[in-house]
Amino acid sequence: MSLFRSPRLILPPREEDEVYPYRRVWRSVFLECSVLAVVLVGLYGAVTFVGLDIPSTLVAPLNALLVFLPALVWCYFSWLQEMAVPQPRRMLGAVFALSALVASAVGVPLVTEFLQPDQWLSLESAINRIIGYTVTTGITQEFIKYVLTRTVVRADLYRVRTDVLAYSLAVAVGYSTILSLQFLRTTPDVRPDMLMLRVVTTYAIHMAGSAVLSYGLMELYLGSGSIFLLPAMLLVAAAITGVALPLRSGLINTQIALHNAAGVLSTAYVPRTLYGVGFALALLSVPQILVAFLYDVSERRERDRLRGDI
Amino acid sequence: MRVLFKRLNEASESPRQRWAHVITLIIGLIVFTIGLNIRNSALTATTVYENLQAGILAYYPRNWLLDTQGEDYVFRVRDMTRSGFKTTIQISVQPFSSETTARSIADRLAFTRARTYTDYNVLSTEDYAIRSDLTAQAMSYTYTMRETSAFLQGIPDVVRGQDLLTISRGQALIITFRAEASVYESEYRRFRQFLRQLSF
Repeated sequence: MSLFRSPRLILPPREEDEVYPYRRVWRSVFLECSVLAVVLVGLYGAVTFVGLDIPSTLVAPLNALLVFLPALVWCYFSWLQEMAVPQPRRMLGAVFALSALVASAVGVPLVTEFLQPDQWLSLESAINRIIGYTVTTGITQEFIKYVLTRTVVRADLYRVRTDVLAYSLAVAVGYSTILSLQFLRTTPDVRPDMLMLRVVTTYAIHMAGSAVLSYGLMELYLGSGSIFLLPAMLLVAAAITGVALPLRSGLINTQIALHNAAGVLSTAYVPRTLYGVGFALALLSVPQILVAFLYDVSERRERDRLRGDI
Repeated sequence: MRVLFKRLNEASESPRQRWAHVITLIIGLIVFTIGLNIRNSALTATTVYENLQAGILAYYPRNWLLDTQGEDYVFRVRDMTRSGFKTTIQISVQPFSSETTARSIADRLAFTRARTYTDYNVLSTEDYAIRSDLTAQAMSYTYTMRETSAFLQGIPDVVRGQDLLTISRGQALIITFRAEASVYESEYRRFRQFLRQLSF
């Protein structure tokens, strides 16, 4: 028996591919944003440029679908995908649901019924509006989202850097869904393309704010950032909301003046909401790219540090 | 709540992480307080209006639209940010003789408005202390207001108003406050602030 030998291989044993045990969050974010951007551009283009006339009987169900579209897309590309990986993020669904509940019970009433920034900021100068929205709506929403993430997600659930991002974005999707629902409740007769513009902008503002805040949390738990980084990121996230809200209303309501060949001012060529669509798309992509870059830098720095230790 | 605290205690956090959270909470609350302060300042901010002919010095809410060209009023400000009926404060001046009383002016006003406004209804007439040394006759009423253009097909707004009638230097001063009935109570504090600062 001792003569038994393992077979001699001609080729060296094939190394098995390393299985990444977590869901790739940036991939999901890219897909979710892409789907929303395509729906927004498609719907807006069809209604504005092609002249698609949506039957009035279809408006209400279509609006209901559009309001929940970010949540549905998130459920498909994030939550369901999470179930299929070896090490899922267990609290993701709970965080999403709690975020929606807290937004509905605390966030929305606090801003719309108590602070009411639209009542006293709408006629202020641009700078005052940015500051006003930052220190009221912005800080309220981001602070609520931060406290929620802080209390619901335990520190030991942060295993890799993108865990922080995944939980923060789940909070953002839950919160923005309630805000969109609130908009539809107050303006039930809104046109679907305008509703989609509003839904995507709200979603993008919250995604941007939460992604920035997640960077502060990530550096705190898994990086080596200063203790002042997290409060600084909270302020940046609030400022994003503060800048985006006046810009959103300003861009959608402003006429675009164009000169035609004769040099006569005309506003007939470009719909005035076109800037709003461009702004929504920019808000959907630019902050995410910047935060992805920061995450990448943080990871590289960590790798370099480990390599240096070895 | 107990579960929440248990959860917080379970979390194994370093002192650095704990301090970062404490600082974040403090900064968040400070910024929110600043926001509340700015809000209160903006809501109580005023612009001065002076009419030497009528002898009025008023501080009206900033950003409200001032109109002094009306036929039946010398001063009117409206909150143009309101959708539907615009919250309004206005002052009218009427000549006053020795035979006239504040009550008779109020009755005449009610009679005129009943013909002008739809569903005009006087709720109450009572004394109102504008200041410790000045009492006015207060008349509360409601009526419905339709859009000027029939093509807009809007639902009428229920408007609630209050007239304060007082006699000053041989003339009757009618200070009017009107707002949509649903926001009347919340908007009334602006009128109280206006009255506190009004000189005539």
